Amino acid sequence: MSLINLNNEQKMIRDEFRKFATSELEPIAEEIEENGVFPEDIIGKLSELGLSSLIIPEKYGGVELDVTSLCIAVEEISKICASIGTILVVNNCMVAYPLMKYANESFKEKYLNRLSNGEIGGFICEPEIDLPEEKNDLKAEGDNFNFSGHREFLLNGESADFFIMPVSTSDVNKFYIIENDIKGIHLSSKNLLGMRAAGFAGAEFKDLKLTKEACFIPDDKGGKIQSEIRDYANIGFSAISLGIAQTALETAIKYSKERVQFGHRICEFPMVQEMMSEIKMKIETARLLVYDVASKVDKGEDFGIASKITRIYCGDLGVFAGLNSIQVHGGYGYMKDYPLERYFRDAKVLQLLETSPRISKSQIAKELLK
Amino acid sequence: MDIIVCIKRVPQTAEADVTIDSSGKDIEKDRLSFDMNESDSYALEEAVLIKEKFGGTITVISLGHQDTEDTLRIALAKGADNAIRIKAEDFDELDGYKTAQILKSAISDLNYDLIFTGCIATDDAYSQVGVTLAELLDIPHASLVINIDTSEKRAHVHRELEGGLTEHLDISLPALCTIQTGINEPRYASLIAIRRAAKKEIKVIGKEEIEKENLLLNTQIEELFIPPKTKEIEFLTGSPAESASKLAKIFKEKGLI
Repeated sequence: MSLINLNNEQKMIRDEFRKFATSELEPIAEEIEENGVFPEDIIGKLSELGLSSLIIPEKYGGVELDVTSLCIAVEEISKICASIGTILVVNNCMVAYPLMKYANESFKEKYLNRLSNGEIGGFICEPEIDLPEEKNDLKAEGDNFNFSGHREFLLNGESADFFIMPVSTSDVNKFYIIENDIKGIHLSSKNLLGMRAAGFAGAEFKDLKLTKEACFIPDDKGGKIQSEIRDYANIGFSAISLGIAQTALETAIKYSKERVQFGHRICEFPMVQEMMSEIKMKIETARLLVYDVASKVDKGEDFGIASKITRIYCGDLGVFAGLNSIQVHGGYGYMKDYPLERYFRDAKVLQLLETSPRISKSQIAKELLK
Repeated sequence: MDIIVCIKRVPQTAEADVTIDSSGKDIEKDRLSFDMNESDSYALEEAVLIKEKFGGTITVISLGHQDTEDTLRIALAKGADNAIRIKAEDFDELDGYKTAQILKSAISDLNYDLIFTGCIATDDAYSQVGVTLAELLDIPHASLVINIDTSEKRAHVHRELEGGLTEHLDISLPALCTIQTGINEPRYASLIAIRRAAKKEIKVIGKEEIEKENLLLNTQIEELFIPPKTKEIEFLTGSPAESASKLAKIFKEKGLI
């Protein structure tokens, strides 16, 4: 049962990627997470099917589908492996989207085609708060800049062929594209609690040359574009949370029908039923939010506040579903033999990644109080 | 090379809790997901591989209700050129023979060099439609096919037999093959192909286009039921030594040692 009605095309996308996830991802999901391996082969296969260039116009080799379709595919993939869902969201929402919307034709021609041909794009996150000077040393050299500093999170960092890099100071707000083999960048891998196969990396920059030719957004006034990219990506990240919550619930339902305690299957116990019903109610609410905000983007409507609300709600839902599904499993849910602990670990990242719910809430409040 | 592939939309029951419906002759399907019958997906892929090699067209045809069009669209996205749905709602009860008669009537006006079906449907497991259809069309057939080499007028096929045996056959075209799983690796539909398939038209035909005379139903389901449990699992408790001793006792009682 679902409250969302899909059209023919969307049903095919859901069914085909559900099949792909079950057949191709399920056998390897635990292993790549355990070992923190970026799944290049799988991403290659998904690129061939068009998922990493889903929103890119056909003119640049992409599929030119809408954000609703992206969410459907990402939800299905994330039911089995949230790391892979994250890689795809970063490629589409944080790399392809700003290029599509703000870059000139020569940047689009070059970089969108590279993404469509299977290259991986990365995004160098800037913290949402002002950075201390030593973290962000930017020196002007004519039209160019020389950057030294540190960045904690590079999304798709371990395997990106090129990066989108926002650089913001009190005077400068620009977006650059840098190649992963450029001089002055030193990547380090992250040992994380969840999403261990998503290829998150950190980086030290030493005298990185940010040339005028590599700048595709020369003036992001007031950081509005960066905020818009976050809002756009929030929709994809919300679809990942939704996928995790759905699979956590399905796992709990299956287990509750099999597990017998005191002569009864535990699904017969009202308190277990309540936990599962609560997850279901939140999932259906979240699904409405995700597909409503996706349709706003597809129709060209304003989506900023709706996306923040969706991201906060879905981030909380993932953790709620993960925790309660562990609870349904009792002690077994805490064991690595069962996938519940992975769902929970992956869900937690989505309350933190790239945007803080507290800052999003203050932005929502600011909007309310205008 | 023009190929017709007969496909069936079936419920996915492998990991589902299956219950019998109120008629006692079918299963409850409301909560089940549906997909292309497994061996039919191999049949489709084999047709696509042959088309990629020799050119031609692929027509997929299915006797089913409206939601069967979802399955036909996936077939279009995977390489079929045309799709036909025969309205199952126009016919009462169906069995393998009646289905083959309806397919025969729908196929008779189409051009084909090969017809592929899956070797077995995972819902009723009759394995009848393919070979019956070949008989009704009066063309040669090969069942359980695991390899095909085609030329303009003939096909060299390998059939999988019990006991690890393989039979090689040379058959003249047009012919019908029922395809065994594992003959190839079915592809996934790409997003661009899904986009294009979503816009393609599916031809829908009903009882007006099908010969109604002599549509015979040879078999009727009397009852469908889940067999009662006849054995219970016994869990051996106690220390490893106690459990081993109990196990040895059971083996002796059963005459195994």
